Amino acid sequence: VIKPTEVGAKAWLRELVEGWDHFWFTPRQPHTLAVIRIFCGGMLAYVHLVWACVVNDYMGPNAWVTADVVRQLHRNDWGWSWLWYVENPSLLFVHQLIAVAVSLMMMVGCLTRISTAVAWWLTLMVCHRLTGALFGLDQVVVMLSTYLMFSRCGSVLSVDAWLRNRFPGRRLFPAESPSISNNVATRLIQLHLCVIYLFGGLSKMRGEMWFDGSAMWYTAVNYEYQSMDITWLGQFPFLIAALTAGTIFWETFYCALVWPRLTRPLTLLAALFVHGGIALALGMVTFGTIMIVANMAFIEPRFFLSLKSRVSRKTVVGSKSHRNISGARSIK
Amino acid sequence: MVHSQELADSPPSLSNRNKWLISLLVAIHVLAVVAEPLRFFSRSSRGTSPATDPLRLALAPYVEFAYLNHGYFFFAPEPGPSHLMECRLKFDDRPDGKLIFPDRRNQWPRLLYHRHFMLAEFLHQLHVPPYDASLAPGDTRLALDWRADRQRFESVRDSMQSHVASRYAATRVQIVRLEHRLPSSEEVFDMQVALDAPTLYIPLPDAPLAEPLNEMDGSPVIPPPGSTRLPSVGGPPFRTDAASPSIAEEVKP
Repeated sequence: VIKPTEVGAKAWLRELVEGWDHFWFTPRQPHTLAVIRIFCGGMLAYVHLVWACVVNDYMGPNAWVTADVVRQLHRNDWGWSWLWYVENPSLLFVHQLIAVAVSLMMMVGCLTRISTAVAWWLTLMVCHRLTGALFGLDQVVVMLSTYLMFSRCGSVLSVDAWLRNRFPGRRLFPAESPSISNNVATRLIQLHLCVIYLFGGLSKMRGEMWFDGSAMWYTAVNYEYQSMDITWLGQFPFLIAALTAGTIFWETFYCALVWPRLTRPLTLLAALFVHGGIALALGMVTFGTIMIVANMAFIEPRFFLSLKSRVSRKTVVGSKSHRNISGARSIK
Repeated sequence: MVHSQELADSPPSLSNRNKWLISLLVAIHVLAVVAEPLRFFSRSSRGTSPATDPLRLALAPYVEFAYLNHGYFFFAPEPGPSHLMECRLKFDDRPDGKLIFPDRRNQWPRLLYHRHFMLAEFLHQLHVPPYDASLAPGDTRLALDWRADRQRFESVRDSMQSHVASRYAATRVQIVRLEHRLPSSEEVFDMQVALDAPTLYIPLPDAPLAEPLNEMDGSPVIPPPGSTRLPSVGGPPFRTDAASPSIAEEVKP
């Protein structure tokens, strides 16, 4: 005799397995990841270019934090970089030029499977060398490139897509079709973002300012961050307190609110405002931008697909009308 | 749960065995993503929670090498004051000079300015006052940790001083940490205090009862970079010295 509870437990377990299977192993189109790849590659190229300009100050023999000091700081952990053993400014400069080049290749989607992995590796090496000079931007670009390199993000909106048509059947240029690797990469970005926001929100709960409504004021008057004067907000204490409460609420509950279709657009809109505000007012254009880019992982590929087809339709219509005009001219 | 993109024609499929394998790898990775913020969140003056340490310890090689060791404490627990470095330079053939890091007028683009800002914050986070035997009588563990943390701070500070000295051809450089206090709304609106008013910048002494900071003579001699051995900043994940910042963690975003 099977007890009703046993049946319920079995059904629950089966649903759980099916849910897991659906969540991770449903093939997904590559378009969202391709857009993230373009922005992430561009950001990596910019980051490495800036490092290249100051390579001697940050990685040379008389760097702010010398390679020897960094090596000893990491003595008991697993961080490692080959840049700990290179102090020649010319070699370091070449290293950074290669990093810029592969990041640009990742951006345009040229040999994406290789260039994304190399860009990730070189960025990781730079991160483990530049202990002390890093911030949220570095954490997020490494996170994105880690997941992108396992996906087929180079199969659309890329040079690879053009090469695939010229050299069909090569594994290096995957087809523009839904794949499980795209889905796993997207899910990992999504979950990683939820972890970032959850702990960002929980950590704020240890402070008083996020509860008494003054945190936004003290963020706005931080002169070292400030790139736009928003101290006028202080004239409206209610607004300051509401923005403070809204930020901590949104950040803590992002991991729950971003999944349902009903609340997802609002959650992503809030992300756009928060990170746009950080980019414009708190002087962190790079960090604000890359966080907005990471949030794109929650936009379904069909949105970019429809955008792409609309653009290509317009291009076709444009070229047809152009042909008609030139045809009419030739008749004349 | 979000429903994925509808499948197009002939969707690829995986064998159950491969699905189990990928699921296992994904689960390990997600645990690695969570391990560090969990440990970071569970820190207090008494140490870290024994409930979070084993996971972080088990996944340490992966977490640390893959650069996943972040707590994500952005502007948390509270948006605090900024910390800067005031570099006092002494020259043989010129009058003494002073440099501030970060300085938005001299460091461009903004990303480079922010790198200098992070260096100043990093130095501040590492700061530990010089070892005082009278404050740790008979506590060997505390004395050892204190000395090791101080040595770590001094090595980073000395490296930075050495860099500034070589960059600006100075004979001696002393770095003083500055704290930029955040003004209240009353100060800004009623008392008309500017955000960069000199009164808001407070030089932080190296030791609680240190000598006044406007003396150059008491500054330490610049040693060659890397002349001292350092303890690890990250240390084993089960370390209980809660005051030590994690090496890859920046509380500032």
